[in-house]
Amino acid sequence: MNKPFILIVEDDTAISNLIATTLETQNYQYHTAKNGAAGILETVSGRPDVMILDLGLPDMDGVEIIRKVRGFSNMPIIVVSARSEDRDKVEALDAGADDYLTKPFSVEELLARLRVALRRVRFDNEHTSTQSSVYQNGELKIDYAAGCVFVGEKEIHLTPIEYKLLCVLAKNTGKVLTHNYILKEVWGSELAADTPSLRVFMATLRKKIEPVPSEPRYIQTHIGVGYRMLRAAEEH
Amino acid sequence: MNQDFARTEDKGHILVCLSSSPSNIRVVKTAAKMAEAFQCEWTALYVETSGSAQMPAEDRKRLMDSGRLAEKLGARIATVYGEDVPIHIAEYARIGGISKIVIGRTNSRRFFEMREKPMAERLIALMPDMDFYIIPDTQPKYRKKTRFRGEKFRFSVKDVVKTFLVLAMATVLGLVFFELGLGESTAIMLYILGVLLISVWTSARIYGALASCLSVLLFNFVFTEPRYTLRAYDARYPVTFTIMLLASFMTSSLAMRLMKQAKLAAREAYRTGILLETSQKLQQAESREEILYRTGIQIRKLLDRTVLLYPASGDAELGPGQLFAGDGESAAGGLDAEDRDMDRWQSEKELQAAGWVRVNGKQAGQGTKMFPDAECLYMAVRGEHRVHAVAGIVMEGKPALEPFEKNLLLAVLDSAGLILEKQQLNEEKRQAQLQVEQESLRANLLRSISHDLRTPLTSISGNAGILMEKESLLDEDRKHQMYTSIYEDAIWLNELVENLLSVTRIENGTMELKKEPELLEEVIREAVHHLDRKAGLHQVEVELPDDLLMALMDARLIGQVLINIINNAVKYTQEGSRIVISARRVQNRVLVEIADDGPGVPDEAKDKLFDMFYTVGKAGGDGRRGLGLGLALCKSIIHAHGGQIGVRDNVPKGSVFYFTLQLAEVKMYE
Repeated sequence: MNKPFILIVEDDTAISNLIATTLETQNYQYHTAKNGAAGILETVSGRPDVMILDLGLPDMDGVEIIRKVRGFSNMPIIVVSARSEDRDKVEALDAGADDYLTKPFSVEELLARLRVALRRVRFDNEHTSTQSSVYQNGELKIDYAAGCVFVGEKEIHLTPIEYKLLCVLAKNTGKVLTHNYILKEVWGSELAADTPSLRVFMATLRKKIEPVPSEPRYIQTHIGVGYRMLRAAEEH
Repeated sequence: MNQDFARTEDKGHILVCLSSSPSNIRVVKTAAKMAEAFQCEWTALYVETSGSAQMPAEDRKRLMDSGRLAEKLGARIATVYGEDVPIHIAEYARIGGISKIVIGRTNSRRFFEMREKPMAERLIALMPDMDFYIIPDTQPKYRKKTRFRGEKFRFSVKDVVKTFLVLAMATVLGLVFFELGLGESTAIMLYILGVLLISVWTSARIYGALASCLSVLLFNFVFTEPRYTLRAYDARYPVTFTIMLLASFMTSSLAMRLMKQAKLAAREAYRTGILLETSQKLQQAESREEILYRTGIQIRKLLDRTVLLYPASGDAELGPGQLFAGDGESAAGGLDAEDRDMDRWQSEKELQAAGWVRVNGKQAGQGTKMFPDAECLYMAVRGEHRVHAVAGIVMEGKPALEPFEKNLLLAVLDSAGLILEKQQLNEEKRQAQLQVEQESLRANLLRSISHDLRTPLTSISGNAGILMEKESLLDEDRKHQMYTSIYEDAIWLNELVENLLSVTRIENGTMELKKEPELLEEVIREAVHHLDRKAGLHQVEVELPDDLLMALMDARLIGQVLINIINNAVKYTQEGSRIVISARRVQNRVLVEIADDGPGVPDEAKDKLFDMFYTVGKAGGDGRRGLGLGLALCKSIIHAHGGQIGVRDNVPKGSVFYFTLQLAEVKMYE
């Protein structure tokens, strides 16, 4: 793959420089925008692979930017926010963001998230033509046509809800899905079930498909926010 | 403000008695002038008796005028109910802390009141230490229309039978003694005795009077010459008859009065008993809701009617009401029954009446002038300064409350009002105290912050400075050491800022605690993930027998608690120590424990460990300082969750930090 092109939308010069320097060490290409308007413009003209978006921009609300971009592009968006509030992260994810970073973040974290995002881009590009009826992620295999799930050679028996849950996560591999989003996709509405029972279902699902439940390889928990299905070969 | 306080304290309180006499206006005016002169508060009191309802119209008008004038001149108006006016005045004076009483000496003549002392004299006798101001009556003498102050006369066959029976017995006995030669005087005595018996035994005065007349007639008929005729020859007999009649009348009258007084005394005793019980019960109540609840129960017990109680809220509103069904079914009827009944008494009109009482602090509803067509009678539960609740008594066709009942009700409501007031004052005091504590805490915090933040900042700027200026002079190892130092200081500062923020927000009460059922497994794993780097040098293990264990918690905050405690263990134990985090269910709680096998915590430090700013001795070799906030914050968070936190010794060595959380059961939606 040619060098990935990252768009940094960040008004704080110091952080912007930090991210830029980090990207340079990995030989990524990048462009910086200082505000929301410039960022959107750059998205249209430059066609970056991934966007790193700061939620505290002076001119536009981060969520608004995400919505606008999602209107014409499916590129991965990683939002950056301050630590205290979960709410703005959840909002951003619900609006279409893929992942989030909390300030202060370490360089390793940043690079790891970028890798996840880039992998999704690559995967999507390779598979846009074929509507695959089989999902393969490391040892995990979902046969959509037959409605079966395998881990390695062994078939796993899931309840209907668990199956649906797994499919929703698989369809959005690499994206952090909020509790609300999952509830809506699996149960149809946020009112039919609630977050606590979602957690229990998730826990039982994990027990069934994770080889080592205490070190989840596939389903990653983001406390207070939601869950994510990881590509098996990824490290965090 | 201070002046007002001094006023009421020193200057006392004046009481003026309202009556329907024409001179009462002048008495009220005098009292007003006195209040002005002494610069104190004054109250106009009216004692309503059972006879008040039958007051003639002009008397009533005079009474109302007096009352209105008093109110206009600035008096507080109070009404009590009872039969014996001076006693109730005395009681009110005692309770209300009255220092001076103003009454009028009336010129009215009441024929049958000869035996009763004038009110002023009785009052003076009841309250020898009170200052009395007796305003003489300058009006011409007027005759107060006497009313036959009787209880409603009800014809009772039983009483008539009793009367005749007793008289018959007296006659028979008299005859016996007469035949035995003891003379007719014994018969006279027997009849008088009989009249006494009848007066005590029957329910109305009329029987005694009737018996008196009948006994004279009987005496005449049976015993006087010529016997068995109504004629009497002897000239002395008319005198005998008259005296006998008089004697029996007086006996009857006295007996009736004694009976009445005995009944009053019994009622007083009952009343005091109830008041005492109410007072005790209310004192024991711990919260506002409980006080109101017990009050409702007492009133219901007292009056045997359905009661509604609305607590006051805000400045002029009422909170949701509580119903105390008066049919004896009460709680057994179930909530549905009560809810249904509630709607009956919550029509627009009813709520209006209740609302009026809330704002004005006076009675309204059935039987009063305000909202007389309401279904209930509403009275205010008031303390010294404000209305704390409104009580509604459902009348529902039952007869109006007797003055005695009303008085008792008033007393209970007053009692409740005072206790509610006291409770509220206590609450306000507590809040004020809390605020003072928070202020001092914040001051302490600021002091510590400025001191303890400067150290890592100095280190960072220092290291960075050297690296900027003298980079070429340093060797790789040294440089790496400085970079690491800068990095670690920054991370440490970040954790500190987070902790500080949380601390100030919890203490402030602005921390929004979102308690939700969370999986212990997830929260613990997240915490372990965010540990201090040094944790890598220790053996951190997680033991979770039931990995679907859930507890009610704010995930982020509990995560912080775990991080703080584990980091603490990392800081204060040797490299390579074993730190085990476990969680299990204990009855209906979740117990989370973090055990280490380090040097342990000395006994005297165990309690103080969770106090603010407490740090134990010297830490490990690198002199890691601590603000001592971490554990104090943990305590705040756990307490805010309603749990407990503590530390105990581990066997064979080390410490076990533990905290409890509420267990959460989750319904599965398939």
